[in-house]
Amino acid sequence: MARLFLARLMKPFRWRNPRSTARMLLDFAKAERSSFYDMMEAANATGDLKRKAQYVSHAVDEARHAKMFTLRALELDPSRAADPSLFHADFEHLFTRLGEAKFISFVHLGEKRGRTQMAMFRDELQALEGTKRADTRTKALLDAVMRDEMSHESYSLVLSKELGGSLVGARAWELKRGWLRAGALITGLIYTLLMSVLYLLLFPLALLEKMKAKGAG
Amino acid sequence: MSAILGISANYHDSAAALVIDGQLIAAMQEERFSRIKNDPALPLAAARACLAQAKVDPRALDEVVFYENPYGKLERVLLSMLRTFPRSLRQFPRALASQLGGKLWVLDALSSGLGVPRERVTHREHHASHAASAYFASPFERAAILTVDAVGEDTSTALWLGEGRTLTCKERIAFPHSLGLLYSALTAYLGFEVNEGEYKVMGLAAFGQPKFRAEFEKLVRLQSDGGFTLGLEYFDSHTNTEVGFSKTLEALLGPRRMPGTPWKLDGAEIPAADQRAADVAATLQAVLEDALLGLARRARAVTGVDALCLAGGVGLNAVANARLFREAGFTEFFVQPAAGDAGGALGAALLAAAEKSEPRTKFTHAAWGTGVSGATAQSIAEGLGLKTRRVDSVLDATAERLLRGEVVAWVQGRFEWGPRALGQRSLLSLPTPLAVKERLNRVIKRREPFRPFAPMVLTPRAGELFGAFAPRLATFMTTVAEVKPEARAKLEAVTHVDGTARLQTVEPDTLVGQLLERIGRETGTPVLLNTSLNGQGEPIVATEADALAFFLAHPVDGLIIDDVQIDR
Ligand SMILES: [Fe+2]
Ligand SMILES: [Fe+2]
Ligand SMILES: [Fe+2]
Repeated sequence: MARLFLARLMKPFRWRNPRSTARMLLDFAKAERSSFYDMMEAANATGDLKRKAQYVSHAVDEARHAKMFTLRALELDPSRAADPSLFHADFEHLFTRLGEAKFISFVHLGEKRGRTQMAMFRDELQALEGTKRADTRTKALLDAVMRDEMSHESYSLVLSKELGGSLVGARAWELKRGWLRAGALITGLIYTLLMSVLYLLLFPLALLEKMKAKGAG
Repeated sequence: MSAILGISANYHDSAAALVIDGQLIAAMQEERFSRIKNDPALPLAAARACLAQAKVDPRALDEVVFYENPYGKLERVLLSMLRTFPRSLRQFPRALASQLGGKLWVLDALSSGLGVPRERVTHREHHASHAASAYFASPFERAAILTVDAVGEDTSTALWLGEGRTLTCKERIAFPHSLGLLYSALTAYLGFEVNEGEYKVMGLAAFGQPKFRAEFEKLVRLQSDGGFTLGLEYFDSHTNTEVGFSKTLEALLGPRRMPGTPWKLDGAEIPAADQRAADVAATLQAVLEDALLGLARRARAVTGVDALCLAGGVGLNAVANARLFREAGFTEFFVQPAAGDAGGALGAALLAAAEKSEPRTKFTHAAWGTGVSGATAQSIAEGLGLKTRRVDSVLDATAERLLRGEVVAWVQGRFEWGPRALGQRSLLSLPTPLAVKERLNRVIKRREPFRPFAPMVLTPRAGELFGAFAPRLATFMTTVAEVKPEARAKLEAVTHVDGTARLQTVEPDTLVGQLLERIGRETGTPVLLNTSLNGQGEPIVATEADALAFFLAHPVDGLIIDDVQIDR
């Protein structure tokens, strides 16, 4: 819920210029793409043919969403077309790591949160209609995507119950992951700082190596 | 029984290959499982799939062989950081983290990830793995082998002699002087993604003239003995992950092309920037070919043998391969389809098998992946609300649709090893009219309009339609041939702007061969347009589920998986 809270806090800064909207839509696209990877892994890994079909259909929706968000983002900010990470996204192998029951409970939570956030953004855009900051096409895009998200949210809940998954358990796992990620971020920053210092301390060695290279060449 | 698993990973396009008693059983790239194109992650899914194919338990493996020396690479990265002090300040923490945070411990990670005792996990050398992937997969008893890529541990180019079960390194060229690096840097300069856009550069070259020879002489100096050196001030390559060019290169060749800039190469008026880019690509292609030719002539002089094998990422340049075959003076030539780093997995396993004096393997096709089942495909498709029908004759059903001018997604047998679809996971159509190319490029694959599509042709009939080509390369689509002028009208959708085609020859006794025969009977031309079955930016499909996901997302006319025909 921290993310939603943060999103709410940032409201005054949203929809001010097309470039920041584009950046936000590209973040959405990344999340959609990650979800595509996870759903395809689920489709290929589950032994149940009926669920295979459900996961494939879900994956195809997410790939389409990713494409739609990316295209809209590039309309708003064509300079992002040069971004080499445009088609990249994380893949955490959630199905393999969590097992099917926990995985689908986790999917349900993610879908629900995603949809809530999109609904919030959509309402903000609705309120801006007719003003200078109106963005009717992005609003329509969110409408189109949210319709699919609603169905993802409901089928995953049904499956989670069917498979005996626990939403509380999935939530706990999610919190733990968030905690670990924050930790990794901080460690990463400290590491980069220390390594840069180490690098500068290497100066005498670099000098030697350069002299050697010159002598050899 | 001896079972050896080869692994390549951590740089680009990871893969696993299983060799039992010397014979190749399975070889697969991780990207087909993770669905992340060129996935460099530890290929545990691919490894497990290889083992499952042979029903071998990982604990029964005699050896797991990693394709390069993980420690040698760290040394090179550190050295190059020191040499480029202090410019490499920003790369240093990242490069060190990528080495320490996994690459260095890859052997331990393989041991724990696969459940194989650590002492059975070994490694070979990067270029030895490349050399083995070509030579031990070839039918030759004696051959010269060239391995040419961006960089291995510290080698970028090597010349080997293969005799029976032994490989001997004769000469090498050390990083940073590297043809792979040159090609990558120019790929980035032309606005394409490195390790991905190299094919685009090759396709683009056909639209230009090598007008930048003088400038390129500063980038790479070719020596009379086949060696070469790069003008290092034009490149900017601190680590294996940072392949790039410097501002000096832009000063020499003009400003870089920004990625994503649309192309306008057809039509009467070609924008100057597009033409210049094509001319740069054409010069790069010509210079690369000259360099390879120099290396090949050197290889012939040093070894005195008649057969040549080529491996390393540069071996995927089909246009250069065609020129090598014509001009290098070898009578026999072989390039294995996964010539790039994925192929290292195959090479490492074959090399270890050769050391154990196992009999050499047969490598006559590329179908070393996992298979598909019609029954599974049908169930999933019905769950997705699609129309399905099991057909008595896949050939009849497919031929009928193709002859109607449809674009058919075709999924049969085990998926291909290497970056090319060779008739197991393909999009097929007739090779005419030209409109089909437009439809495929713009709607289905969303590629740059200048990229050509490739033909598959029945081997015994290839001579009627195409000029001379290296037969062992055409099996795996690693070469091009001239389309005979009288055949061009019939093959307009698969003929590149320079009148060539990257053909695949298919034996008549295979399923695709029979399909081509059927098409030939009706149209007089046993040729189909064949392009890989994948969406933009995605790896080629592997499973039934992947194929159905593709079908739902792309406007192709029909999907055939095994004996099941699927329609919307
Ligand atoms: Fe979505
Ligand atoms: Fe969703
Ligand atoms: Fe390599």
